[in-house]
Amino acid sequence: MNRAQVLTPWTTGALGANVPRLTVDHPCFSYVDVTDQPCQNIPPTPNLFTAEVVCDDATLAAIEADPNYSVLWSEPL
Amino acid sequence: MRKLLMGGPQLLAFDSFTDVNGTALTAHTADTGQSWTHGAGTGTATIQNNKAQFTGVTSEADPWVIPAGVANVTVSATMNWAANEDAGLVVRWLDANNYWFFDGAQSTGVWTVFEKTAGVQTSRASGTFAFSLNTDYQVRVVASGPLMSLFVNGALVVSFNSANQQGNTKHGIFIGGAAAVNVLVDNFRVTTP
Repeated sequence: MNRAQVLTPWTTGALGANVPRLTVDHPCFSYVDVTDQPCQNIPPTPNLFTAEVVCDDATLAAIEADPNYSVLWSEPL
Repeated sequence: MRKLLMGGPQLLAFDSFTDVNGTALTAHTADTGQSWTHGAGTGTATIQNNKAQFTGVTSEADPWVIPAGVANVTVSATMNWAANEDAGLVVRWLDANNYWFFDGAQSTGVWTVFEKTAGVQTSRASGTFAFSLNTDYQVRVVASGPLMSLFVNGALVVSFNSANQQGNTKHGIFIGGAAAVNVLVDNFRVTTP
């Protein structure tokens, strides 16, 4: 398993909720919004935030290869 | 004379859901005397075999809440999913547009912390704890100051820190999605942390 911080846009999920697009495209074991950005300010500006995720090696490799996301740092657990 | 003051959690609300079958939850009184409010949505909740039986509606979040008078709490219940749907606990409810809920999705085993502020609903954190249908699970949320943590059968699944919605004093049960019967709940309890 790995821990990583990743820049991801928000998207709209079930129940009309704002959800990090990263967790839709690349399901992770866990995720935390490290910004606590106010709900009212989410889409459209700024529509990018930092999520801290825990994921396996294959998922981290897939995120790193996906041009929609920027991995700020990662470390093995 | 000296008095010995006992520590430990203080019971704020408790419901064993003991009542006549078919009684609407909103017409039922908790063991500790409070009444339940259906906070939003068109789902249903009734008493069946001394448990609360919740039925949801597609693409809708339905919270039921009870006043506890305190925002820093431990909220717990025995929950049993009868279908591949979403359900969990509500903490720090103010109104239909402002509260937190912890949602367990049976089909994926993903538990998500949702914040709803000013009517905008946002996923703040998630963790994984796979669970089975037709099995009892002890679900517990501890909300103390900015830190809120969800435990399932005693295992920490997800935590989140936030300054938002810290002072709201109603707590309860959440369901989402549609099924003939989503989830059965027993022994709902609110205590001080």
